[in-house]
Amino acid sequence: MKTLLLLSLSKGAATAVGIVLGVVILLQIAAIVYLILSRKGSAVSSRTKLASTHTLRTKKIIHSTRRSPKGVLVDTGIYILLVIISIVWVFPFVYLILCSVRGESGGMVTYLIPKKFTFDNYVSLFQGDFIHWYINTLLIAIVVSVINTMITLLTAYALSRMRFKGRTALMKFMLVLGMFPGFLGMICIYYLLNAMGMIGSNLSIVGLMLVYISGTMMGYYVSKGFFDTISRSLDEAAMIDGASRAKIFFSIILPLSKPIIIQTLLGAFVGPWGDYMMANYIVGRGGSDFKTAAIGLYQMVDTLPEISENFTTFCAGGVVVSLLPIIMFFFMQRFYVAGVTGGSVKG
Amino acid sequence: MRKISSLEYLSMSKANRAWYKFCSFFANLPAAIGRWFRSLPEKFGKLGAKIGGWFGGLWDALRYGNWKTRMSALIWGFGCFAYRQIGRGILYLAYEIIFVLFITLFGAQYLGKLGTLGTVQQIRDPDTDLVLVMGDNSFEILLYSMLTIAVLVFTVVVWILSIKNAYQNQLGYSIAKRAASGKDDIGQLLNHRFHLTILAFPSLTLVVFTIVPLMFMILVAFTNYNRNTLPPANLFTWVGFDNFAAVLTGQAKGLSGSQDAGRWSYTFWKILGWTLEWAVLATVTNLFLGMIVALLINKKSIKLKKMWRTFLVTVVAVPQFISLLLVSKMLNNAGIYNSILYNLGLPTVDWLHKSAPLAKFIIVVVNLWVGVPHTVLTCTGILMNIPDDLYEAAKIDGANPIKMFSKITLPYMMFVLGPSLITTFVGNINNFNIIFLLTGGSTGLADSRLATQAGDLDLLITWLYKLTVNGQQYDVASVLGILIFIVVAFFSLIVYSRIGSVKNEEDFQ
Repeated sequence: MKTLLLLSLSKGAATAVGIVLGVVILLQIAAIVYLILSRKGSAVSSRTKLASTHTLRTKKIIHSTRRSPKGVLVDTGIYILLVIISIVWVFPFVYLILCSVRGESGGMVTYLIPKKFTFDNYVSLFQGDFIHWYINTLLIAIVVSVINTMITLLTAYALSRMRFKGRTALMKFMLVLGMFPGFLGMICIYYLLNAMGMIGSNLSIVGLMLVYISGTMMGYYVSKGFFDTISRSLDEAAMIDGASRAKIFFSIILPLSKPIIIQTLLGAFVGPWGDYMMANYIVGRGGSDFKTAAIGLYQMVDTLPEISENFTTFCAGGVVVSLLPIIMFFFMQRFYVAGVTGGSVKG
Repeated sequence: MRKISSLEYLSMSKANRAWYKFCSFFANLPAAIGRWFRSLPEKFGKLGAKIGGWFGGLWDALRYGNWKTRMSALIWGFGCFAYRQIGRGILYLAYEIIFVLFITLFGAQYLGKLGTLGTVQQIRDPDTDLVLVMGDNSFEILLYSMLTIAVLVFTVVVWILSIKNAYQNQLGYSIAKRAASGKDDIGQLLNHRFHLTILAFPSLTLVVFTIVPLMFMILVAFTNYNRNTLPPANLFTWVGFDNFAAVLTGQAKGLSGSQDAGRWSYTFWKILGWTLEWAVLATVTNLFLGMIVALLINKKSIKLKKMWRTFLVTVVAVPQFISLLLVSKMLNNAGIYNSILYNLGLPTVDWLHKSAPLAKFIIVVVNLWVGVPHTVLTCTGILMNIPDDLYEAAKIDGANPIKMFSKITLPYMMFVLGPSLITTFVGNINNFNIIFLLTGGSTGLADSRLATQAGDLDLLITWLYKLTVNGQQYDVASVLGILIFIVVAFFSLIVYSRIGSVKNEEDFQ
């Protein structure tokens, strides 16, 4: 049993490690408390005299001044803490990847690093129905993210810039509507889709898309907040020059809204990509060809015997499914961070 | 609570002030809610006046309009044809024809039976199982009635618009000798009426796939539509407030199903308690830990900011059904965490199945794992937006770091995070994924007092889901949906009434 994991620590050594870890964690908590109380802390006192002029040059001088030993100590503490946090946060994904290349069959094993590395799990994954599920999911996510982004941005623009009869009433109505749990109307939607021939057939993917698209209008808040911060004098200037509302939107507002466009696209892509609740109801009971990746992979490890049979394949599927969103987030992180709050506050 | 003067307030210590504010918020809550309800009639009055004004315009048009205008109340678009607005006229007329066909061929038969939800039971031949008498389908009657009502409302609007349009033409013609042409219309749709162009398609999907189903499900809460009355083989019918009484008080006679009503109410209150407990815990822990981690990463002297953030963002990027299912397997009796404990010579724990409090604690911890990266991203954005001059000015004025944190950083963060806290809280009330994918809603410890499909870790939303998908108890599920709405609306109301940035939209721009 005590194999590769934790290098076969003896019981005494393990206790010692535990005590050391506990002390480190306690120290870290103390460090956090200290840090919160002193944001921009240590260097401040030495800077105060210099800070009266805020030209770029003085700023550079400030940053290059030597840091106090106390500050270095705090920073070291923070680094240790960040390493621990990163390990805790990333550990499950390391485990996912390790399981996906594990050669030994069976569900749970008591060690972390596989004894035999193999790509068979990926091969058997793609020999199954997974490729259908993946294509379905990709198709749905792309179509939905494009349409939903258009709807969200246009709705937000109308509500942010135009003043028409019933505007506030519409906003209040959507606010109230959004308070109902989205799943509530599901059996009714199922029936409507069934009546349109969109259940259990090739069209079921279209049906699922319709479900994802239907409520989008209600998610206009963030984008509206963003548009609200774009100065209205731009619109007015364009209107004086004879531009129509449509022209203003497409050639002035949109080019200024890159962060929010990307954030909306990303959100609208990831939503259908990982949805289980709605998808299970619409396509979960249909044929295997119509499933999405979420449904297929969930059903793979649904029951106990299935876990021990499919777990490594499930992990391979998890890696494949996660790849695309991770790449997208990695490249769009900058916009995402800017977009989340870009609409709320301007300094 | 005793009112105190501002002098008394100022003479209190910091901690006392905070405590006073905290207490007075809750002490004032009933009064604030009362005020809101007392202002309801006034609000409805205003709404009524608005709608009345709209119909008043119709009355004017019919009263002062000439015969062409009046004629268009009967033949829609007549006023348009008369003033050579051919395009609009054709659209109005076509809509009228389609509407009449829709009502006579489709809508009327369902609307007529809405009162009883059908009376003719389906009859099958017991031997061959062939349908002898089709019978009424209560489901279709209710659903298509809702659809018809939505169409009716829309039609009334179009009808009034057509008459007003004709009246406008009449007035405009007497001055300009010309009515707006089709070309003008299209120009308008891209300019002053651009919102109509934009909102038409989303509104249509909203009505068909959100509003109509919602109306339907709200009405289902007043029927006995469940697994015993599934159409088309059976009929279901109106039962009034029986379902509500059963779920809330446990006293109802009419509720069908094998279970006694007391069980419904026991389960409901238990699950409601856990749902609220969960929502508060999840929101608060997430906010604080997220803020702390964001401050750590964004401290000026810390290097590799992007790397630390990327580690966290991985959790956001990986779809929840993967990460949560994986973690639930890792927390298994034979999962990796227990293996670590075993290898360290410590006793293993069955994290999610041992006892409800332990499982709940684990859920909150796992939720931290899922949720903190989101908070970190948001907080990072906020921290980057705080202008440096604020800190410099504070430094010049001799503020210490604690003061700068409590007077600049914290208020700034709360100002932005405040409104999003409601959304987070509401999102947590309806947090399906974490409960369902992590635990399936139950520790597996039997509690015989729980109603069908409910587990001891279920939130209202997961219970609703299971009642719908597995239990086919649509009547109770609808009641739950409405009660969730009431809970969510209640909390939103409290916060919305206290946040200026929501109310004073125009100041904000």
